[in-house]
Amino acid sequence: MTEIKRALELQARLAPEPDGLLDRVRSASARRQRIRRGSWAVGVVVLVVGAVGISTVPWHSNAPSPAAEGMGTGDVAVCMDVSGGDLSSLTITEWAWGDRIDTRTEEFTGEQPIAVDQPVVGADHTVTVSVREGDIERLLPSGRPVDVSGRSGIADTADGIAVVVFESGVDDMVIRLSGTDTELTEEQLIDWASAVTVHTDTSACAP
Amino acid sequence: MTDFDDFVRGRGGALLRFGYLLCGDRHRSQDLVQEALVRCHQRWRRIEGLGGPEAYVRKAILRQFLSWRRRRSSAETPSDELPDHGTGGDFAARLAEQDAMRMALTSLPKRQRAVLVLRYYEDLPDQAIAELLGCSASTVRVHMSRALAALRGRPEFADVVVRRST
Repeated sequence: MTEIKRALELQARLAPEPDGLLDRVRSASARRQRIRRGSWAVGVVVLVVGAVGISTVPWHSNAPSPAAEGMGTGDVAVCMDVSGGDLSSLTITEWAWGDRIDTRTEEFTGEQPIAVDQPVVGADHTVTVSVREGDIERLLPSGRPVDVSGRSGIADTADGIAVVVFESGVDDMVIRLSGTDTELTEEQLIDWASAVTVHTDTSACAP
Repeated sequence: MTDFDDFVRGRGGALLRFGYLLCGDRHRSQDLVQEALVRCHQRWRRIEGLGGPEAYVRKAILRQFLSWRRRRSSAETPSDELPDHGTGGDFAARLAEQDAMRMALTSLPKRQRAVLVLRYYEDLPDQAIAELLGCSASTVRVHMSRALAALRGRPEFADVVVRRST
């Protein structure tokens, strides 16, 4: 045991006891669920009223898109820092109900190939979100062309696992989504891919 | 949700110790752990499906800690529960060491502090820490190096770091 570990363990003894923790958590959780249900009801009313005058409202370019709940997963924002010309850092952020669930950041020096895989766990399925260099045809030579919210893509199913590869909007970088179970269909994955947003304004992506 | 209740009853203490080492404040550590558990409670069925709920909850605590912008209200953390370490000079020395450790830890930037706790308290390797923090293993090593350098710069803690490195 190192001296630092010993010191930390001594320090940990000063931590508070867990008395009453469960009760506090459960009551806070119940309170939050009530608020969420109330907010949802208010949101429905606002949407109905808003739909009268507004047919389509573009989502803010820096905000994560609002879909994907149907898949049981949160939204995913892919942030690429290309301010220096080449991709220098990449952040994949998962959101759910307005909360940031998970964030992964990778930094690149230009010497190593860019390949990042981030599993996004949902209630029904787990989807692996990957960022790759190259073009969609090279990454998925077989399959059928699809449209992912105006971005060109290719979808395929191999051994029962659905895969969708689509353009990120950043030169030579593509997004690849793949299921991890055979229950997830291509159509579901294409629908879910629409909720993956790509940003190059890193100030909007900073944790 | 009985499993969630069992989990909190069984592991609540360990989670609070983890949270306390991260933030160095008893009240904040309670808030930190409570907030993380509330979030996890609402998706517990999914988390259970991952196989290792404790790792997920610890990750949630860590994320919560790193994203917490509220500043601590005081650098002092009065305690009404003193550990039973003995009496006399040895007891005083241990308390002084604990206080020095707390001050040294809380003086570090959040990510350096997190790396130190994850490495030396949780015994995690660089790659696991990197995945938790969402950075590369080399970045973890940079944080660790800077944290140790900062601790060496503190007179009350230099001895511990020197002893560790020899």
